[in-house]
Amino acid sequence: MISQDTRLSQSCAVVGVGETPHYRSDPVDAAHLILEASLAALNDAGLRPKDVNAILPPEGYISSEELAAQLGVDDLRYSTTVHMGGASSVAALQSAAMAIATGVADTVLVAFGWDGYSSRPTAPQRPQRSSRLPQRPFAELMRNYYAPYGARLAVQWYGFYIQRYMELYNVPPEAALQVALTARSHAALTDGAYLKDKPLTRDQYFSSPIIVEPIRRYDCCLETDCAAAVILTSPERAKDLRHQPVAYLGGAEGHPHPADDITNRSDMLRLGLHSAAPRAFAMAGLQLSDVDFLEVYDCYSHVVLLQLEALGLAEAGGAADFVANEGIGLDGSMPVNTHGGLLSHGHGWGMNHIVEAVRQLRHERGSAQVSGAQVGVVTGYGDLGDGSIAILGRG
Amino acid sequence: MNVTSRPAGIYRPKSFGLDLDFYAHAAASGVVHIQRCEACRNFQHPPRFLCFTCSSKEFQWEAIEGTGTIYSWSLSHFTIDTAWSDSLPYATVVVESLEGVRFVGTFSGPENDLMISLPVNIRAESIDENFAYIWFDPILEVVKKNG
Ligand SMILES: [Zn+2]
Repeated sequence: MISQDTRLSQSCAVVGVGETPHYRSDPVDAAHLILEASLAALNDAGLRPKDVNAILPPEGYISSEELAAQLGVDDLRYSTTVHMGGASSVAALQSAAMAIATGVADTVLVAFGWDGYSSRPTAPQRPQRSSRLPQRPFAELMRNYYAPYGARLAVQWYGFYIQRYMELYNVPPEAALQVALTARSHAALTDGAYLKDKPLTRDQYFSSPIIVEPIRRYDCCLETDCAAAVILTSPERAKDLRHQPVAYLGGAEGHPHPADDITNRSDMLRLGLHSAAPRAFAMAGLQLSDVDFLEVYDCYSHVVLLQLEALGLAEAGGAADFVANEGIGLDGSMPVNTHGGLLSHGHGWGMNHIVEAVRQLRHERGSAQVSGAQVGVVTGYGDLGDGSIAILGRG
Repeated sequence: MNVTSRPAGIYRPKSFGLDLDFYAHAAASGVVHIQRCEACRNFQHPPRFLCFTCSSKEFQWEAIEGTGTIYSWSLSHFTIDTAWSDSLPYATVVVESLEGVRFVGTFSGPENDLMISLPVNIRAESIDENFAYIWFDPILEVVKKNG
């Protein structure tokens, strides 16, 4: 086990969670959704906006200052925004823990929201606020070196390493199928999941169009307009609040090198999570065998397979066997994405994965409850390889 | 489909600085040039201000030998780029050059021949003084994977 400072372990707890529905209809203002989710999280915690003194908003859409002004947070002491794409939500928990552990703040709002449906690349017209999203770190490189050859969408860049993964390890198509089917079956048990009432069969999956080989339509995350938020505070304060506290046991972020160019990484299949996961487990003093469930960032089904390996559940190329033989459903040896994930719940940039982990650890999930869950792991994945992880525990 | 000529109206990068230098060297000579660190002799691509191995700022633009092997590819059945719509499905290919750096370009052979480690020649097609299109030409006829 690697040596790791453990000061952030159990430095804070999640005490409130909130989320909006997932919309795919008229264009929405993401800022409004973020405010709604933030209020819902505060209500869930039984706290008032004035109790918050740090805000970690998502990139684009709304600033910490505007959030504070609208909510009535009158003593904002700390704010920062994580720029790791889909890995940001989980990485922001690390920043929240640092703020609380050092006494810079005692109660932190971490919020996410966007107009993922209204601003999708194929949308006829994007909402005004979308233009505030900053340029991704690889945008210039992509324009200079990938775009002339017809690769302009995230799914096409993901194709570079998913194709290599499938070829090198001879991964059967059933592995991604199983990730997609499992997500949909979990969504069926989850109020608020966008595809709750839309079962998915093996035949539907294999007759869905290939977008970029080997990625089929049902391997792709949903595009939804949505927001979600969580409130963290000190363990002492958490004891007096409404819900069973969910402790931050460990966490980390990792970045591939170079992060801004997928193609020139010495090993294209080495993710940020490969370096982050061992550090997070060392911080928590836990092992994979202590973990009851995983909420894994699932922009594409295949990316779940890569992360199961980065977490250490299987050797490189071994995730397919793990999924087939151990199982990732609620009855499997390691339940994964118990709310349906980005594939079937909605695209909350992984903040919805955090909310789900908290609900599992509070034992609020009814028919989707992982029985007796004590420890859950959430991963984030963004900007084509950045990784983040949080290990959360009941009590 | 098999892409043997550059589709009309492809996205043209509006490069500047070192990225423009990269394309200008390739366009002027018909050969891809990459940065080589004068201090530690490291090759690197895409071009950067500093050598990522030794932090030197001194580079030469050096012509590559011109061969490499296929590292991976992305085979699109869907595109938002109308220049490519008529070519669907098409491959965008990553090749590792003999010098150890990787480029994105288009494979001129049949897409069914794509496989990791397949040897290719790396060719720069000059479009104008500010841009050259990178091609990967198969060196050998491929012995089909499944007979
Ligand atoms: Zn050097």
